[in-house]
Amino acid sequence: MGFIGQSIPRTDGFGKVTGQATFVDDLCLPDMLFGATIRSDEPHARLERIEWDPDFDWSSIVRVDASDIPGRNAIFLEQWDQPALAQDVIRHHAEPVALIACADRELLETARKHVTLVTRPLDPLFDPEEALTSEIKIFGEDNLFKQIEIEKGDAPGAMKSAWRVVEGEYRFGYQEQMYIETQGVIAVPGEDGGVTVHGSMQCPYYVLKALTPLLGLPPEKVRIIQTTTGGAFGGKEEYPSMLAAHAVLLALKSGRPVKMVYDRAEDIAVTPKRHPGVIRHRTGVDREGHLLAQEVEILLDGGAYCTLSPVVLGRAAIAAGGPYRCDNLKVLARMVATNKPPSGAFRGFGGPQAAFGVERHMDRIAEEFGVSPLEIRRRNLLQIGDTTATGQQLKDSVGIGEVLEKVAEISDFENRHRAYQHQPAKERLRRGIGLAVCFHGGGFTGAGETWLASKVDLELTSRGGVSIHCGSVEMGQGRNTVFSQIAADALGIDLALVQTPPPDTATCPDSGPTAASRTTMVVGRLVSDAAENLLARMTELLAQQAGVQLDAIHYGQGAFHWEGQDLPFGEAALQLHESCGLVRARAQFVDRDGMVWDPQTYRGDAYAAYSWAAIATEVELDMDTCMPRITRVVAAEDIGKAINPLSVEGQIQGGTLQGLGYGALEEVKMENGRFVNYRMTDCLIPTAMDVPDMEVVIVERPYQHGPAGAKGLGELPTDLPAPALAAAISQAAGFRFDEIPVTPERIAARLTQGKEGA
Amino acid sequence: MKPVVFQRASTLEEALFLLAPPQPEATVLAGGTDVMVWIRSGGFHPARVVDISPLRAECARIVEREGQIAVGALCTHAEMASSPLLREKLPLLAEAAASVGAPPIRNRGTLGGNIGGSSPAGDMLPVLLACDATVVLQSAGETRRIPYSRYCIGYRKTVRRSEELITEVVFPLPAPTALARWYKVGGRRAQACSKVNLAAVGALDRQGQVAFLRLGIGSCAATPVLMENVAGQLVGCYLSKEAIDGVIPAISRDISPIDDPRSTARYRSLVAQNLVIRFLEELVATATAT
Ligand SMILES: Cc1cc2nc3c(=O)[nH]c(=O)nc-3n(C[C@H](O)[C@H](O)[C@H](O)COP(=O)(O)OP(=O)(O)OC[C@H]3O[C@@H](n4cnc5c(N)ncnc54)[C@H](O)[C@@H]3O)c2cc1C
Repeated sequence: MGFIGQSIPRTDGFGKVTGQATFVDDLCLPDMLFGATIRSDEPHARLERIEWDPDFDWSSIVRVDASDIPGRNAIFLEQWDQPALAQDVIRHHAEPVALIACADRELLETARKHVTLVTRPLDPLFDPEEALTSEIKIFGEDNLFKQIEIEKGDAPGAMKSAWRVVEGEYRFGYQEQMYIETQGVIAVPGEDGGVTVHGSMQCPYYVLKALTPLLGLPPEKVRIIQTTTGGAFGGKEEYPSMLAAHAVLLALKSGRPVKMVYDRAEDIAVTPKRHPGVIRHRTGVDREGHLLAQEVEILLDGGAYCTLSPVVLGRAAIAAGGPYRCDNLKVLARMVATNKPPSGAFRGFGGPQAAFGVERHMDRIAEEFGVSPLEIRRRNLLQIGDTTATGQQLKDSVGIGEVLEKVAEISDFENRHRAYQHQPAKERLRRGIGLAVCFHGGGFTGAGETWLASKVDLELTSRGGVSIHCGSVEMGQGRNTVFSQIAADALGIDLALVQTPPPDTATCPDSGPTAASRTTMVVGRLVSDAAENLLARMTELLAQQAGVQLDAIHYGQGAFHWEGQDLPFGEAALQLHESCGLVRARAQFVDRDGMVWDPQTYRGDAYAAYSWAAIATEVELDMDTCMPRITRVVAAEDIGKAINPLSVEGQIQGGTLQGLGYGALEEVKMENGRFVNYRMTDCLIPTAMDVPDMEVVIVERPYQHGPAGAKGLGELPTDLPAPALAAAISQAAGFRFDEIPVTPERIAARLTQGKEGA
Repeated sequence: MKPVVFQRASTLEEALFLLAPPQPEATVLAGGTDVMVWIRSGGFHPARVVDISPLRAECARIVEREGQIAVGALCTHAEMASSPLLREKLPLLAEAAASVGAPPIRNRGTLGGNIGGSSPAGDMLPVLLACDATVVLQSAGETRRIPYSRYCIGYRKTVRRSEELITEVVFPLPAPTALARWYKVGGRRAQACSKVNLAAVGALDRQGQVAFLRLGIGSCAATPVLMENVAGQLVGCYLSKEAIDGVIPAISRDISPIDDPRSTARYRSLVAQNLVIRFLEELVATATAT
């Protein structure tokens, strides 16, 4: 008995592999139109008017601009600053200004060329370092989306008594999610004046909450249905609200279904990416290499609109000091506005930037001390009883020491690191090894989960099983399989009896966004709670029908038992479905951890549970081509409990590869506020041929309130490969690289610095 | 958008007829791995397309004749990569073909298409230069044979006339003593356009002097380049350490790399130097070993 802990094949796998899964672009509705977006060609300008060529025949084309928006022209998320269609001012290149739709896609492309935006250029602001003081105002008076200060102890004071103070600056670029399925939706107008949206997305309720004020419609007239989603990685957290808004405006104006599916070039050019920026560290250390004081400054480039940036900044600020014990810490984190396409959510959500800064900095401290990167970390790792940056005391489920030691041992870190320090200088192939550790809190920050008050429903089906209803989506990460395993075990029934229909806001309660590594840990727990509530409800109904006392019935071994009767779950479910109609039970989030959190000061319990990870990466650097080949990766990750070990391993491998790409390959280049390599030919991510030999170790230090002890997993593996890879390349090259991606071009520039003719 | 006239030729004769005047100029379609991309996202709107893919019976052979190897224009990269004849007699070409794109592209993309497009990054082209290959151009009226070193005359500009079809490429067999190497440097390990690619063929004579040296390099100028300055400086010389180090200015004269979204001029220069030097050092090492 028991599906939890077993490597069940993905329940959605077969349909996807055999091409049966229906993606939004596979859907075709009668009378459907195709929509397209007219975008600005400037990073900052005053929009005087939109000129529709009077000599062009517009009769078969539906046209929409900001004046067609019935409600408030904003895509609501954290702020109301981002319009669905620009009005008066253009704040970034490729900003949507108008929309057209037509049944004929070729005509649509032709029509696009007959629209002219009449604009007056404004000076653009590109450098985030200048944002606060610039004369150019994009957001408020100071272009500051959010500032977070965290203070613990007395960092400036402790810094004075430090034996040595180590400083460093760490820079990182954009990263593109590159989900395999581009963004897409279909909007269908309803006869009641309402609208239904089918689309590829992570957060159906975000779309709902963005559309209702935009359209001025009550929530019951807006329905969002998730279609099979081909990857998301955070990239389908905020943007589907924008795309849905556009399709809906066209659908309402035309009275016909409207499909909008971006091609890859448009998708890369306009959708939010990982925030670029800079992190500066100043750390006071004592004679033994213990951290006495940490001062960290974070500056992230949010682009022209707020999106989820303040939340990303929060994650980065909390993780800025790393998983280390330090009684005196001061973090100043800022998210600023620039005239660039907005940055946004991406797996890790501020974590990869923070980890890159602090882990490269720990390497620098180790170097200055003459100890190994492993040793400096060993001396400073958090342990049970210590407090984090926000003053949260760690009570249990702290696997950081174990993951580090596992990685150190399996990768033979110390020996190799020492050996590579002494390799001959003139070798063509030089080697290096790097190490990193990190932590990632599961769920929304602080009181976020209480505020979300997520709900999950379990319902008996006509086939004698149950179906799980909630807003959390399957996007390739394994939600359907994991939820099925949890529900099957909680009910003591077979996996085949559990159904996981895609979220539909008309029938599924809001279980919060599919983000923040919360789906298994938080929503999975609700699935298990809902199962218990369902059993209680069934017991109640059976007792009524059998005319016995409630406590006369007990449930075990997949059956209800009373007075010598044994009624298997499936039969009971059929019987109740027959006799009572809809039988549904709900579970709602309750804070079992007694979290105390102050969002103003960022003091308190930031997360109910942390996951911990360590990684070692080894490279061979070809000094002729400056190309690193990653020869080996060892990753150990404490995720509480692997509900599905195969899935967990897959998540860790994929996330690690994404993190390695972030460290040394993936670069979205920008010139004058526009992305220049917006095609897959030039916007590279690793291929299967780039996957290194990877060893994954799963460590399970359970979180008592997670389902079977599970904690967050989705983002953790992406947080830490980049600094470890940068460290390995630095060792191999004999130069320190503190800016990612560490591309061959950057390495070459360093190696030839000062040399002429190269 | 104007409709495209699409014509499919079933024989070479028919293809040449369809391309010959007075018919208006047409775009030849072989594997389509370039043409389709240009149409889909490069703003390319051909008025007429002549599909030559059915010509495989006539134009997809790899044969040895009179001390030469002839490769049909419609040979795919996959066919070249796995051809036993090429692997034995012209492994450089097979190896370069195996480094193109990924399996789907290698299954469709052709040698003729690579030459037809003559992108500065085309992976077959340095090999053609290094092997002194000749492109055979056929039209209804005549057949022209043009060495690839005189074929591509500017950025994606070639001497091919619109009525001509590339039918095959002829490679003289390299001397048995020659060392041949293929180096491809892309952004990642597969499915990557070259940032620098180098096909190198060379041999030392019995005295240890350079008997001949042909280096074809790509992505380092507006066209693939035969490195004549390097060869001119080294042929007839001993490859001493000084001689090898002294070749760097000649390398710089042969190439004129630029910054573009794929890489930087500085990187390309450095890698071009390092790869040429690596080849010369290998040449010395192999000669010493035998
Ligand atoms: C994802 C992807 C990856 C790629 N990777 C690489 C790579 O790694 N290395 C590389 O070199 N290239 C690469 N390419 C480019 C392309 O695949 C190759 O250049 C291929 O050889 C083109 O052959 P084709 O038959 O598909 O050409 P087509 O697209 O059919 O034609 C290309 C050009 O040649 C002309 N042409 C074709 N055949 C003839 C002929 N017989 N006579 C006269 N003109 C002709 C056409 O008119 C056109 O101008 C890649 C392309 C894609 C889409």
